[in-house]
Amino acid sequence: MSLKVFTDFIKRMWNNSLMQIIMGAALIWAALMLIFIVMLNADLSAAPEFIYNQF
Amino acid sequence: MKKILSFILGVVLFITSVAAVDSNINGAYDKKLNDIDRSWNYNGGLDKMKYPETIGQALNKDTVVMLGSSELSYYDEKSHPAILTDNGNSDFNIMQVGIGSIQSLPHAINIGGIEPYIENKMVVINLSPQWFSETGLRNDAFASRFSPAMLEAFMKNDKISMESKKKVLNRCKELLAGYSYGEDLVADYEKKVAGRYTPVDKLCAWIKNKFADIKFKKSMIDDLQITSQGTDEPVIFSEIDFQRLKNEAEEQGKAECTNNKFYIYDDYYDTYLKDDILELKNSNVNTSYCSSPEYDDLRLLLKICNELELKVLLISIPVNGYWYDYTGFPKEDREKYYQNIREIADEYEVELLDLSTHEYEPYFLKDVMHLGWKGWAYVVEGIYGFYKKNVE
Repeated sequence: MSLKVFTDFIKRMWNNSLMQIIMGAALIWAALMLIFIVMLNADLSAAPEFIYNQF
Repeated sequence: MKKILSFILGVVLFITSVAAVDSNINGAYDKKLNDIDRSWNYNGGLDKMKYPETIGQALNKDTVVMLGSSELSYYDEKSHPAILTDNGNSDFNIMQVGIGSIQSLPHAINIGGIEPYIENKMVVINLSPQWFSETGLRNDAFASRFSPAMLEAFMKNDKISMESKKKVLNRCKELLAGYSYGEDLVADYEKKVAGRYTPVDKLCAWIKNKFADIKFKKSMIDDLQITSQGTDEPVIFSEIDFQRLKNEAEEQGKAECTNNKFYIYDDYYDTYLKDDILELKNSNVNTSYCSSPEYDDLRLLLKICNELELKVLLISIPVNGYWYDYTGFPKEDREKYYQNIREIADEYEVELLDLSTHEYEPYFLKDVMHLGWKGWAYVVEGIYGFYKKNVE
C-alpha cells in the first residue's frame, strides 16, 4: 500500500511542470559543473617537454 | 518553454556555483601568497615565471632582480647568493629569475611583466656566451618555458612601447610556430594590437581568461613549493669580506676538482666528458658566438629596459678557457664576442661588469660554462656594488 502511495507521488511530481523545470535545470547544472571540474583539474598544457643538457 | 526555462535556470545556477568556487580559490591563493618570504628569491625552476605575483610578494627595495639561466642553480658554492644570504635571511638579496635555456627574449617578457614590482628600478642581466650560438634560442626550449601569465603581464605594462610589444609578439610567433601551446594566445594579442578585436572576441576572451585565472590560481595553490628563509642571525651584507670569500672559494674549488686538468668539478667530468674526452678534442673548431639571432633579442631586451627606465648592470661571463682551447673554439672568436658585448653595453648606455678576462682563472667556473666558486664571489660583489651605487 505504501509503495503505491510512493509511486503515485513520484508520478505526480514527474508530471508537475515546476518539478520538470527544476529537474531539467539540475541536470544542466550537473553537466556543466562536471565539465568545469574536469577541465579545472585536467592538464590542458600542451607545452613541449624540454630536457636541458648541462653540457 | 519548459526546456528554455530549465536551461536558463541551469546556467544561472552554474554561474553562481563557479562564482562561489572562484571566491574560495581566491581566498586560498591570497593565503598562499602571504606564505612567501625572502627565500623565494632563491627558488629555482619555472614557478616564478609561471606566477609573476610571487616575485612581487618577495621583492623589496633591498633586493636586486637578476636575470640569468642555468648558472643560477647552485651546487654547493659558499659564494652562491642563496647560501651567502642564508636563503634570504639577509638585509640584501638577489631575486634570481631564470633557468636553463631562458635567454634574452623570455627575459624581455619577464622584465616587462615584473617591472611594476621593482621598487629600486634596478636589474642585473647575467649573459652566458652559450646563448649566442649560431641558431640562438631554440624553438622547443622557448615553447617549453613559455609563460602565458608572464606574457599577459608584459602586454599590460603601459610603459613598454607598442613597437617593442609587436617585436616581442613577432619573435614569439616565430619561436612558437608548430606549438599550439602559446600560439593561440600570441595570435589573440596580435589581433588586439592591430585593432582587430571585435566585441565577440572580447566576450570570448573574457570567458577564456576568467577560466584561465581560476585554473592558474588553483594550480599555484596545489603545486607551489615554498621553502623558508634561514632563522639564524640575519646576514649583514656590508660586513662580507669578498677577498676572504674568494680565498675560501679557491679552497672549495680545489677540493671539488681533482680528476681533470680543466678545473671542472669531478662529478661533471665523469658524467659528461670522461668517456668522450678524445672525441671532444678540437670538436668546436668551426663554432662561433659572433653571429647569432640572440644579439637582436638582447638589443630588444635592453630597449625594453630603457623604456621601463631601469638601471641595468650587464654581466659578461667568460668561457672556460682551458676547455674551449682543448675543443678548438677559436680564441679570436671568443674575444670578438666579448667585444660585441662591450659595444652593445655602450650602445644602450648600460653599466657592464666585464668578467671576460677570467677565462683562465681556476674555479671561476665550475664546469665548461657555469659560474663556480670564485665566479659567484665576483658576481655577487659586483651586484652589491651596483646596488650600493644606485640605491636611494
